[in-house]
Amino acid sequence: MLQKVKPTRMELLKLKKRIVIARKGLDLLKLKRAALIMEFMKYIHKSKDLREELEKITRKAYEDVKIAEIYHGSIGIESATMMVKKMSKLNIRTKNVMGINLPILGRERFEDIVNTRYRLIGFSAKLDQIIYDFEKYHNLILEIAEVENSIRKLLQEIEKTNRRSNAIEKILIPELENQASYLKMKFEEMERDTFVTLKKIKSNLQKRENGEALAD
Amino acid sequence: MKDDYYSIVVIGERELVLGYKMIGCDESYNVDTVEEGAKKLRSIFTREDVGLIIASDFIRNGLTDSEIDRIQMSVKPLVVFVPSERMKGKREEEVLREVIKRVLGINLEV
Repeated sequence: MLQKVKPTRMELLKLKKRIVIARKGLDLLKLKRAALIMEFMKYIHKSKDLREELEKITRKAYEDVKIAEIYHGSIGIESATMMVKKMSKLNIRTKNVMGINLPILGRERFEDIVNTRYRLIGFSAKLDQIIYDFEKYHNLILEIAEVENSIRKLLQEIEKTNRRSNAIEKILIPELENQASYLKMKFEEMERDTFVTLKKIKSNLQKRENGEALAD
Repeated sequence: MKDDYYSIVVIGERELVLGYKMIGCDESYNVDTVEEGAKKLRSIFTREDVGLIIASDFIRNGLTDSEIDRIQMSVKPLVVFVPSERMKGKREEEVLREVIKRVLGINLEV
């Protein structure tokens, strides 16, 4: 797809400048992609371990809930839930990594989900076990939420960067180079054109001179 | 930085819901079918005061691909799918592996 350009030297200079800028941009995008992938790798190893642990804890926690249900019945558990201290609200902040907002979940207020002293008095060991399991579970979930969301965000950004660098590399730069070479050809053509015209004029002049000389 | 506090909502199997109630989660919904779960998730996802949604992964079966994309990319609220026991949903690792394969073109063990 050749865009119409005026065959002037000015246009060629502009094109050359644009090609240089596009190349620079391409290099930058490639660097960004590499940096993103490095960041991504950091998270991906963490994610694997976390998910494995979650699977384990889930099985144990569900088992403990079932056991507690056998002992106390679901009504027993329900009434116990009325006694626990309410969970504190979640603090979500974001951290900026190369222009992407990655979530950070606040953990500072999670120490006091349930007061342990009070727990020993009111609850049986089975219920206590559930609380213990799910506290662990919840901390893990917070971490997983952070890591997985970050992974997805990074992947999205990597995809975007890929698309951009491909667009520059495979479409923009070839097109600009095409235009530049077209202009160069045009200039050579014009040069030959003027050369031929000059030759023609010269020979015409010479012919005329010769004719005048003969007439004299 | 401004600190905002958001609530946590749990949607899923009975064990998950009961467990979360035991650690003091105010809002939890016990859902037994995929449709019910998806409907609940959709309505909670749009709420402003919710910061984290913990959902059993069978609920994912009731959502369209674009919905899942949108849900998993959002920061407020964050949505985590956790493994469920009774009804099998697609595990998070598998989903993630597919996305990675599409973007990076390699098979990574997640």
